[in-house]
Amino acid sequence: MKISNSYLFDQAVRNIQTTQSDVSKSREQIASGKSIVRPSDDTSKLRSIEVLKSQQRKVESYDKGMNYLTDRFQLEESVLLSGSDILTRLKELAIQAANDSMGASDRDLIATEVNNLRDELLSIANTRDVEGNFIFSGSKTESQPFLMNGSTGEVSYEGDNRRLFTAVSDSRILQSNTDGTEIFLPVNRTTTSFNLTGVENAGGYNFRVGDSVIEFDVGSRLVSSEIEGSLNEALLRSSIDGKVEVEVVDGKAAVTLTLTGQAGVALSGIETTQNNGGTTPLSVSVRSTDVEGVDFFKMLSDFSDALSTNTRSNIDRAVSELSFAQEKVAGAIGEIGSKLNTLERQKDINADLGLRLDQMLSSEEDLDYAKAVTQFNAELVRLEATQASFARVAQLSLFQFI
Amino acid sequence: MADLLSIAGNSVKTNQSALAIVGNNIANANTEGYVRQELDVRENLPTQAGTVVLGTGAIAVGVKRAYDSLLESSLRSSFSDLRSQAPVIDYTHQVIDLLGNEDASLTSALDQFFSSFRELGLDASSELRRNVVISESQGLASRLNELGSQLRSIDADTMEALEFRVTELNSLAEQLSIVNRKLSRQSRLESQPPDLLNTRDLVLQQISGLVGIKVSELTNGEVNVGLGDDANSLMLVNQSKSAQVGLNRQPGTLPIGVDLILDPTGRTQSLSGITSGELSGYLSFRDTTLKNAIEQINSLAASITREVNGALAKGMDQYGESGSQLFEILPEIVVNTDFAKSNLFVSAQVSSVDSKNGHELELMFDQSNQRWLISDLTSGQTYSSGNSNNFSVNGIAISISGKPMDGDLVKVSTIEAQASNIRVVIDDAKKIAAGELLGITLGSGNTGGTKASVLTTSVSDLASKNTLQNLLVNNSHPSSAKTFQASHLSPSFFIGSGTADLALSSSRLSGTGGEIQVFTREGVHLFGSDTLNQSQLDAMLTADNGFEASAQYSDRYLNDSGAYLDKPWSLGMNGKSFIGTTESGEQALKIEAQIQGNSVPEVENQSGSTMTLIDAGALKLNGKALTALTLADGGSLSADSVVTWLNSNITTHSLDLTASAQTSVVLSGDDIDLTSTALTINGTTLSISSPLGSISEIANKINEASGTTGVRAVVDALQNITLENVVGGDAGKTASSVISFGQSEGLLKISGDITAAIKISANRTSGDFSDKEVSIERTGISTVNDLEVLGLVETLSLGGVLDEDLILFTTGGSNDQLDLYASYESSERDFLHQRERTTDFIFTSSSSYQIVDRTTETVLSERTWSLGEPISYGVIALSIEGQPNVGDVFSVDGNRSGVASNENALRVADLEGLGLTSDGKSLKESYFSILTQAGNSARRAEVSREALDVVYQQSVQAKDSKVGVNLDEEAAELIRFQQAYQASAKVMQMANQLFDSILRI
Repeated sequence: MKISNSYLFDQAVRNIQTTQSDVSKSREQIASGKSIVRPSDDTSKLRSIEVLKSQQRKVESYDKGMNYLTDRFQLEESVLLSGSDILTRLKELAIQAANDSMGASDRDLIATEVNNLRDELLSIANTRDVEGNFIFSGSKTESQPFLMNGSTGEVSYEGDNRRLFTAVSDSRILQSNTDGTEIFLPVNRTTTSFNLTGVENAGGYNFRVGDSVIEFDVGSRLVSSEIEGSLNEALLRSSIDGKVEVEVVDGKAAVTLTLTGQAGVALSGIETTQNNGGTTPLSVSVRSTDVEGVDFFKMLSDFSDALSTNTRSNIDRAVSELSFAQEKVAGAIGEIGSKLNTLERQKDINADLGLRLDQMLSSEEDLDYAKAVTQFNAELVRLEATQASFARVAQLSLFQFI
Repeated sequence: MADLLSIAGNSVKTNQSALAIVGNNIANANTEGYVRQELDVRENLPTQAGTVVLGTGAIAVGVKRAYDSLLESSLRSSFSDLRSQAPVIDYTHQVIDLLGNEDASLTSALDQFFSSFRELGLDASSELRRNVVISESQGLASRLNELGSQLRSIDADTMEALEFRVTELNSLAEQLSIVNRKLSRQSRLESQPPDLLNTRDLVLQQISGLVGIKVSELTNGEVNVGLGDDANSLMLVNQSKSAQVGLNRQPGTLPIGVDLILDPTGRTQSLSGITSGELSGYLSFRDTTLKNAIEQINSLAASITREVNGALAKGMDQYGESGSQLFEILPEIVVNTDFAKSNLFVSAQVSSVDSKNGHELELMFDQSNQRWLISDLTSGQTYSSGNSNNFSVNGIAISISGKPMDGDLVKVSTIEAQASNIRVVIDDAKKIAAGELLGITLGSGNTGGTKASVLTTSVSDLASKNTLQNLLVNNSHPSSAKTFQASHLSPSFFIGSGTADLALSSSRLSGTGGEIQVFTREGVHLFGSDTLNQSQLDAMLTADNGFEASAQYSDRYLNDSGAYLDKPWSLGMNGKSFIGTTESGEQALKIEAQIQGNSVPEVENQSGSTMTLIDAGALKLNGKALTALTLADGGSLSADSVVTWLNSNITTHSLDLTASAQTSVVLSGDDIDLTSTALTINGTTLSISSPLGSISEIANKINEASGTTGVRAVVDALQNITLENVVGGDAGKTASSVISFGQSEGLLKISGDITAAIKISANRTSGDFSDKEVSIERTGISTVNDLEVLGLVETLSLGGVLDEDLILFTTGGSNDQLDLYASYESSERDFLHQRERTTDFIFTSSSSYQIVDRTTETVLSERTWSLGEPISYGVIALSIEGQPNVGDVFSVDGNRSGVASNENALRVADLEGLGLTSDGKSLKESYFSILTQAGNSARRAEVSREALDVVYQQSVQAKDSKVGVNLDEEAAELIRFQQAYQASAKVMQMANQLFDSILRI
């Protein structure tokens, strides 16, 4: 086949250009360290690179969220730890005050401390974070969650009970807030009414509430107001807060005693006694129990009132209620701790994921230098060979021999 | 001997020419388009000498071009194919580099946008985070703007390139026609100058690079060129004539619609079938990759706007309001003044976003009236600008400057360019709706230790149901009434949320007992009678009838106006005074508060004992319960006795009202038979000899006889005639006396006795301009007959805007029916009114709860509950984790101070992974698919370019081996012809010697 000279030259130029452009591309890759310098260099990898980069950004965004949550949970944890300390102190005080050796003035002293501790707890419940948001008010972070009414001293919860969630990975969602009522939980206070039966004649009667034996006298006539008075006096002597209702029907007195406190305490605390000298034991039966939720700070106020009014039964009640509150706060601390652990674990997982994404991205878009340099050298050799062979071929001409 | 010399002489000449041709070949070795030439040498005609035939040497007959038309044609077609790939590859790479560039890619902008919402979720009250959201939204919008405008600049670039190539093609076609003209001077191909043929082939080659052609060669070397595969129909060059190729643009789309056409100024033909050449490469890039990229980026922008705005609308911003739009896309307006004769400058802008923004407008100047006539080509409506050059149509403000002439035409249309026009419309970071519309608070005394969460849900619409608005026209006149059949199985209609100030009156056809019963969708019986039995209720309160599945019947608020949510709703009849102002600006009483009934129906007691017509407490007058209305044995009820009963109640309760009885007959002028002459009033037949011509003459006639009949007539401006008793006249009538018209209908078309009706009106002293009201209402123990006894029309009046749906039944026996007519206003359904109230969910036992409106203490619903069951009421979707105790309260309010509520921000962030586009892809995936598609089409083009290049190179090589100049070959030829020349010279010398030898003899 005939090859014309111009074709020979054209082809040679073409080959050299192709090789040169390959060399230049390899050089560009080596210089940038990327196997893809422009997106159009390898359209098949474009999508996976974009996806990987997008995932990297998402992991970064989750990390930011987790750092924020860690700070927030740590703040909650430290605040609650001091709250727990205060509750422990309050319980100590309650136990101390429940001691029979304490007099009214001692209990007054304790009441002062209790009030101070209560105010401290209130300020803890109204903690703000660095951005000035109240941390225990649900989603109403700009409203103070626990507001004390100046005149009545009652504390009301002004926040809401919205639970806020944050995603820390594509599949994991954490509750990011703890509202005030989850920590400073209302205390269930059981009110139990008892039927005391056996008062039929004049004389002395007794029954027992907790450690105290209540003795009271009934006059010759069964008059309800008199029985009530005598019984109330007896309860007051034993520092027991109870509500007495007496109704005389058919010559028999139906006595109803209503005690408030934790269910267990009230039930185990009242019972029939032995015949005690001159007084006759009454038989005791439960008439009704009623549970009401008592706000956390109301519970503390009640404790302080019990101290200042020197009401032993309510101090006992406070002991058990404080235990309950302490447990709840401890539970909340535990929950925050477990959330912090979850965060730590999730951070590790996200870090692993980030690393894996980096590797995958690197294998997609980064240059394999060994391979690239070898290829570059091969291309150079090819270019040189192309040039040399052309030079040789171009020199050949029949005209030299004519 | 002479022959030998001539043979040699010719040979020398021939070889000289051959050498010259070789020299020419060598000289043109590198000339583009040059075709190697050879001398065409033939044997000379032999001579016969006796029996011997002798050759007479060789002769040059011409110069032969080493030309092969088949090779040329295959080269051209492979060149066309190859060149069609280049624009596709180059510009697709531009698109990929644009979309895939890390700084311009939408992926990172989308990631950052959604991350900003996710991070806003961490602290929704943070101003800082909100501002980040705004700036990332702006980033996303500007990235889309950038992509949109870059793609449009690629559109413009390729358009320009196309135009340039078309110009080039036209000039080449013209060149070829000139070459053809020159070729036409010769009739034989062999006689054509080779350089002309070379030029011809070169031009053809260049044309084929631009567009695929079919060439047919004539015998003299002229060529006809057809476009595409068909050589005959689409002629670009026909001998010495060449046609023009043009671009036909269709503006109004992106990329700009463009077609290749032949002969744009003459007999236009479409060139849509052209599939090869550079031009087709440009067109195919624009039609596929570019169009696809632009459309998808636009649809992505539209999806982002629709979805993000939709999600934000479900949330609450920091001001406590429901969310507003974040993105907005204004249509892009294109003004076309090509059809205007005068020099006009037209600017058009969207002044208000409207669904009609996209309508195409055509503006024509009407010189005689100095106005523009605007026609909306989509809806067909026409408008006039009035005497102004600035006007607004369909939300588009148009301003025209210049001096328009009669008939000047301007077209205003829009193009789909969402990506270029998307923008952020919120600049106040607080307006980003990150929060939930409803808030949840647990009662401070809750003992159940439960947790709860609340969401906003949608309320089922009434689309497929009968509504009041569908069935009843808004007209308070009885003539517009529609009859409803009594049924316990399906409601008559729904009174939908959004209905306002409804007054629904019912009139029972005589002898039928239909009555209305109004319920909430929760089964609260608001109005009607407490006569429904359990099986009827079971039939009525079903989900099919629009009741909630949880609906339980309650008659707590039955006919108790003002009790249900403190709404001013009542069933009964009421009248309000209207105080207006006179022309001089003083207050004046226009309408007094009053209730006017129809004739009190006749009731006679023949039971033998006292009959109770209305139970005590069944009706209330101005809020005060009325005593029982009784009728003694043998007595009959009259308006006067009713008035006496009413006035005694009015006195008892010290109401500032007066009840009175009056007989009046009001007849419309249209109802009177003017041809009749018969008229009898109270037994007196009026003497009318011939038909009376007018209403006023009838009135005059009646008034002439007033002395005997005791009845007078008054005609008002509307030609209504009113007949009343003359109180204290000679006939001794009272206001409530019966007016009797005898047995037969006369000219008044009325017969029988007309009895008195009651009227209760407010007392007013002169100078008192206070608003007064008279109302008579049914209570829970009333029956549907109680108002009828008094001749009053029962009206359900629902003041204010309804914020929930009510269900209205017509009940009664199987043949009972009821005529209903109503006046009302309608507004949009808006259940978010519920946010204005605090709704308490109070557990009454461990398995039941009440829904109570806190402010009004209205029990909206009573329901049973089981553990874990979700609760929904209106827009509230409440879920409770755990078992609440009795007395536990869950309060749902409008969440206005829930500044850290982040649910909606997370909902927006969640859009990231949802399949939102029409093909179910997420936003990012659909962006990737644009990239992938562009990548695929680039790869396809590259592969075919490589394949086509091989074909092309083969053709080039094949052609080259035929027509190319190889210097070695030429060197050999040179030697060959030189040797032949030398040999010929030697022959000549030999001939000479031979001749000399002979001479020497």
